[in-house]
Amino acid sequence: MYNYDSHDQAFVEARSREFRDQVERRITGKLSEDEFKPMRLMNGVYLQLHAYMLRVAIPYGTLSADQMRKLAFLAEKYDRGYGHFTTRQNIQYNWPKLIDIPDMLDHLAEVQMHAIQTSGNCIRNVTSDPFAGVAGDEWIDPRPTAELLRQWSSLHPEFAYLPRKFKFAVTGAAEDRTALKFHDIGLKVKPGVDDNPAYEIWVGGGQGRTPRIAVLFEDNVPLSELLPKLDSMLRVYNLHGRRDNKYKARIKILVAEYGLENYRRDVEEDLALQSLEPFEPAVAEYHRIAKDFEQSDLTPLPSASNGDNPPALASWIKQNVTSHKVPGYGVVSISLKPKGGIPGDATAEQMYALADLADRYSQGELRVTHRQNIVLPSVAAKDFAALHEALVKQGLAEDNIGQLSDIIACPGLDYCALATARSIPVAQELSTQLREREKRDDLSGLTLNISGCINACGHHHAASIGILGLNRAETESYQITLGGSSNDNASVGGILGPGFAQSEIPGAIDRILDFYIGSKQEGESFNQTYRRLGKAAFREAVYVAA
Amino acid sequence: MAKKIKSDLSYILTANELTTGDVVFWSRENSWTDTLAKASLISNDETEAFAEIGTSSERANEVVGAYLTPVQQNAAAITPVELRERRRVKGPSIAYGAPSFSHDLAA
Ligand code: SF4
Repeated sequence: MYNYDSHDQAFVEARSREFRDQVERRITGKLSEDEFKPMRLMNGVYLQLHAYMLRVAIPYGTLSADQMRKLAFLAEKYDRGYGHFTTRQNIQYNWPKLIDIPDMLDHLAEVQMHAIQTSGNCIRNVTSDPFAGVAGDEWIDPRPTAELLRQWSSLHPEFAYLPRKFKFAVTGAAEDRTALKFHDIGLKVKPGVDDNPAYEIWVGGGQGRTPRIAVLFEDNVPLSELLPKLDSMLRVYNLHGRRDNKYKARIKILVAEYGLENYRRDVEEDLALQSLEPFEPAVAEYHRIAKDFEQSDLTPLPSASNGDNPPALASWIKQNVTSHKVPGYGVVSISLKPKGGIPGDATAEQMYALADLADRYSQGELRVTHRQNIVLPSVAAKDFAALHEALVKQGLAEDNIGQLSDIIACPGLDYCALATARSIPVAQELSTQLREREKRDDLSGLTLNISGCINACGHHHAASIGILGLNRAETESYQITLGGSSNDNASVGGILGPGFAQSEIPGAIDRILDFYIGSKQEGESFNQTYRRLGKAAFREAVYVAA
Repeated sequence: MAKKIKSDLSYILTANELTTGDVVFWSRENSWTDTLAKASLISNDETEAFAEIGTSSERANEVVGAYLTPVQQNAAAITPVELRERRRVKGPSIAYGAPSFSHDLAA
């Protein structure tokens, strides 16, 4: 893992002191709410439907066991005994009191964590591949690049007030596990020359009310040119991005309306005006960072035989363990989607247990995935059984990673001030139903994502089956989209038809699956079947049969 | 305070307490309460006066985001008209957190 230095430590401590002062001034009335709001948002503090919410950054989804322990402690001491892992690889606390948040930030600073840039119109926490550094299909570890971006973007004075929030994702593997093409900028790290990486830069992706797939801005950008290029890309967006209409303010709209060629030209013109000198240390810094991520102490092990495993363990290994680049190890995904549970929620007790298990079995390291699960990146195959047993005790052994019941759901109207309908109860009911159905039908590869409003934090556009909760005449109504995908062949789901009442959703999902199972050709994925037969056929099956 | 006011309904004045974030309602005792049943029912003629109470309380740093929201009342309960507000006054509809955490859920 990256070792934060004294500069990083001083940075988070200073920010924590600053926010304590701001909270004090707010409570004593020296700051009005209008003055305070931008400050609290810059520190990840929202006012939600029932309470304040604190969003803590987990840089590129990587956590040490001690950091996870600290998150558990905060859940226990300052919240109601749990936290919620988000699709941005962050964690949210739903019930902190404003007066306690400075203390929470002090605790976080002890483990070099913070909530900076988890909100507001700035460059948000950079997300990355949760299997970074260990995936068998990886070209280059994306974490040094993600850390370089974290350093470049943290409190970048020029980009503190962008037209709108700005999200980066970085991957270095053949399989995209980051939803890269749904980000404002997505970077694919590939081998370059002289031991340096090179980059594919994708721009203009996003979800929300105008979902867009990112387009290729440039290929083979050398490491030495990466930060200057990104600086210019952000500068041109900062200048031309629309500030008159927040629904048109993301870079996806600029790229779509201004045109990729015009945008590219402006970036090149800007780049030509800039001095490259400030960026010169970046290459050396990249290599310094990269050293921290080298996993020198993983020695190959003989692979353990799983032949005699009891069925529950065998199924869990099959479903939740992915191949590791070092023989004899596995990448273990721990599902936060128990049957009938709340996607992404973990209790303090579970978080403490995960920290201990990371120490015991995975070199003290954990990852958070954008699908709201937890990963132990390097577990020896000989430890699978013991780890599984410990997870069973914690209610964390659901063997449904990559199954349809591995549902993404945003907090929705149970918590979120912007929501138009609840997401969580829909996810809970469907996960119970789908766990049963998965025993009969092969539903792997399908995804089901739920958002509680058009902002699409639950990535509904990017799922095989998406559900969007809406408010129709003060009643919850759910729109279904089909055919979305967040992988390398990213696509935006199409609206199937009129919305459903919550009680009608389980039946509608069953009919969609019945129709797919009955119509699919050998080896065909859901999206392939959907594209071959078309929306009308699915629509007829779902609505006419209703 | 920017909520649209309809003509034929009662209203309640609601906000979040500044230091805790708790949802509160302006009560018949002329103070903030976290109990909806104690909320003062505001007629259409009174909305401006109560809106002013909310603004003053914001200025006094007691609450944030005070606004009026329409409600219906029968013998049993006060029920906000808007879906969002119905959820806001009830709290989450799901059993969250540690199993030991007690819930008072209302679907
Ligand atoms: S999608 Fe909407 S309801 Fe869900 S978390 Fe985002 S803003 Fe809130």
